[in-house]
Amino acid sequence: MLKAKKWPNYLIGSAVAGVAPLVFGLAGPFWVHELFLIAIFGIMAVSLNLILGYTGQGDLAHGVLFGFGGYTSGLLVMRLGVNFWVTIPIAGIAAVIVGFVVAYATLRLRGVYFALATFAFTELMLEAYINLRGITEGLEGLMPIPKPSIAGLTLGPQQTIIWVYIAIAFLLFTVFVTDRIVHSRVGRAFIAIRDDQDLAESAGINTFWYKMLSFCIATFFAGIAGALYASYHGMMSPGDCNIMFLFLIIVACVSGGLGTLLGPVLGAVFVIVVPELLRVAEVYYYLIFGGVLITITIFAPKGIMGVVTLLQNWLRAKVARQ
Amino acid sequence: MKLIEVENLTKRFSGLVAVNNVDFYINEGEIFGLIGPNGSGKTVMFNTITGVYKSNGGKVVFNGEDITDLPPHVINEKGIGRTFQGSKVFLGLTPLQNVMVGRHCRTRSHLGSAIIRTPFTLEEERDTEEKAMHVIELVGMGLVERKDTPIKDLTYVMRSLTGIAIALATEPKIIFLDEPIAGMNPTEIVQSMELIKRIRDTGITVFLVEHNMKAIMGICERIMVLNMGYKIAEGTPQEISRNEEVIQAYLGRKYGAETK
Repeated sequence: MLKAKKWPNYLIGSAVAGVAPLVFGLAGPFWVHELFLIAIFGIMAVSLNLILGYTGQGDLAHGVLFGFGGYTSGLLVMRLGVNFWVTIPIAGIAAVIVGFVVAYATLRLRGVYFALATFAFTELMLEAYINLRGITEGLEGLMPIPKPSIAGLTLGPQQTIIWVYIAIAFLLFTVFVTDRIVHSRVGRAFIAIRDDQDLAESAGINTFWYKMLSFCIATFFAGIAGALYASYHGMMSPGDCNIMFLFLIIVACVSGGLGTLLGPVLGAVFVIVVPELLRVAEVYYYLIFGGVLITITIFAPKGIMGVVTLLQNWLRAKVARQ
Repeated sequence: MKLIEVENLTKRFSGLVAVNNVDFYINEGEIFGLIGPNGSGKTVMFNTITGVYKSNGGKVVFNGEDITDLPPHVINEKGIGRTFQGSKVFLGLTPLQNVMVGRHCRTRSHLGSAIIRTPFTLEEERDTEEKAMHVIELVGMGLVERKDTPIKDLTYVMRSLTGIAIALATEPKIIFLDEPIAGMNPTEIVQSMELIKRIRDTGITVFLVEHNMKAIMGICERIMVLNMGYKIAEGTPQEISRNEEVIQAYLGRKYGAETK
């Protein structure tokens, strides 16, 4: 299952990632900002895909754990003056610690029961973010979180393009790690659990701990994404990690293609770009967005990546014929 | 030598006693059959021994060690491989990948070495694929040719064989087969019986649940019969086929009397 010659793909991916900010830059500063969001949603969707798409567990805590990473980093920078770059891994680990406790308590549940338990946790955390005003400053959120700097350059609002490159670097890292995991003994165990948990258990896999592992890896990236997002915006509030946010991450994952490596990245592009393009429809734009989603679900059940694969096969067959 | 010894095993589902105080043993290297009418508790027996269900009494000793109520993955690692009724497989994978999953408990690569892709992991991965191929070749019956076909596109029989291959890949001392020839045509049944003998000849003990009397009589050294959760007979195929109680359980009291 190890595909040895993958570096050409990585090269192409990096090239696309390197050029994208410049192309979006031509379209104006707004689109550069949108590209930052795409990268953050990309990290979230790719990592959610590990637990949802590859391991088959309906994790609905991904959004608030992103929030936990954001609050952790924001508070460390604001209150204790910790260097932002140091807080990135700390945010990831802090999210994992909370995630570990939740997962330990709930991962013995299966299917929709696990999803409901994690959803209850989401509600609980959102209430905590809103009501623990002494720490989180309630609905207004943490603000302003001081901007970090690189080599003496403060990454303020003028340096959006640098932020975009940082976020894209983390997205590439997330994709790379996910790729390595799913094409290994560990990834095979995840997929086995998704396909048939009883058989996986009887084939020697400790399904509980492998589900925990998958959940914790996904949560680590959510925490990191939260830290990046909070620092970029200079603020972190409950509205940044609410249920709508969670919903969009799931949509990115499913519309892109569950259990595919790059599907969630395409899905992230989809959930950020399409609503913006639909803004011309004014109040109806979420209505139309919903319609587009239903259409995708019906006609491309394997998501955008499923369509891409079909096109690839069709092209290959055509080339082979000639 | 006795490989498995089951003492007074009982499994209840609220009011229903599915397995009632059953004693038996399986010798190392034999093909041991378990038969009984529908609902007699055969699959429950499998599930209770392999840890899928928690027992309500009794003891299972495997290889001199008490394994009663251990979790299924621990029991698997100790050397009991099993298949499930209805050809359970991992539908998102190919047969080869399915069998590679079976190597899980015999391999050690963890998260860190998977991400960094250490030489050890690369070597282990090659070894996993090689050993999985050996198992697929042992199973034969056309599985080798279809090892890379998505399993969704394969027949019920191919899925059954893949299920057996997964269990074999875990390097069991004994393999539990739950109705392996269900849904097979006569030629495939004959081939499967050959397969079961091949498995035994590699040194793996076989514990076989079957409905097809003719098939099971042909290859088992000893057979146990369950009815309504009770063990009603145990012995060689000849003894079982002449046993009054067994005939009654299968064919009813009237026919049982007539055979006298």
